[in-house]
Amino acid sequence: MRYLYILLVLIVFVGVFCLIWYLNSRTKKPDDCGELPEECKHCSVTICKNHPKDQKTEEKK
Amino acid sequence: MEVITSLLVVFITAMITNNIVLTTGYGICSYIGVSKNRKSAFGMGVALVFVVFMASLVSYFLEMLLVALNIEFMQTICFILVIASLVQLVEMIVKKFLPSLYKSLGIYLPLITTNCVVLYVTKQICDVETILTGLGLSGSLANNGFFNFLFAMVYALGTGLGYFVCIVLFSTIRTKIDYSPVKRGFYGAGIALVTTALMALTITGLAGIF
Repeated sequence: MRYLYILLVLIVFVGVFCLIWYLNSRTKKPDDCGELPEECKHCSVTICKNHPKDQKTEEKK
Repeated sequence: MEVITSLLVVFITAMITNNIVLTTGYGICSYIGVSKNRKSAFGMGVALVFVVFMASLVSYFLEMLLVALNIEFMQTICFILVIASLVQLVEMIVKKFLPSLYKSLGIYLPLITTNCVVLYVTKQICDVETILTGLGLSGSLANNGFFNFLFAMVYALGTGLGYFVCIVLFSTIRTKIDYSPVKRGFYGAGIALVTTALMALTITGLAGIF
C-alpha cells in the first residue's frame, strides 16, 4: 500500500508540473525575445538577459 | 496580545535580524546576479516573495498529507516539484502580463526553482516548534495547530520580504558603486561581495534585539 501512495504522489506532482510546463511553453514570449544563447545558461552569468538588445559584454573600467 | 507580539517577533526576526541572505548566504547567486539594476531587483524580489509564500502554503499541507500516508521521506522531492511548478506558473504570468520584467529578469526567473531560499523555507516551516524554540517563544502557543500554521506563514512571508529588502537595498548601493572609483582587483563581483559582507555585519549587530 505504501508503494502505491508513493507512486500516486509522484504521478500527481509530476503530472501537475508537466501540465504547467506545457502551458508555459505555449505562452507567447514578448516581441523580439528569443532563446537564450548557450553561454548564458549558467548560474554564474550575470550579464545575460532575455532580450537580444540587452545582451552585452561586461564593461571594464 | 501575546500571539500578536510573537507573530511580530517572528516576522521582524525573519526579515531583518535573521535575514536569510545575509546570515546564511542562501540565494546569493540571484542576489549578486540580478542586483545590477534596481528594476530587475524589485521584480526578482516580488517574484521570490510570491513563490516562497505560495510554496510554503502548499508545502505545509503537503507535509501533513505525507505524514498521514507515512511517506515523509518523499518530502524533498515533493517540495522540489511544487516549487518547480510554481516557478513555471510565475514565469507564465510574468511573460503574459509583464513583458518588460520578463526581458530584464532573464535566466534568473527559471532559476528561482534552484534558489536555496525557497527550499530552505519550505523545509523549515514543517518544523515550526524548532523556529519558535530558537526565538524563545516555545510555550503553550507551540502546541496549537492553527497558531503553528500562522507562525509558519508569517515566517515564510518575513523571509521572502527579507530577501526582497536585501536585494533592493543592495541594487541601490550597487548603482552608487558603479560611479565610485573601485580598485581593479575589486571590480564587479569582488566589491559586491565585500559590500554584502558589510551589510551582513550591520544586520547581525541587531541580532540581540529580540
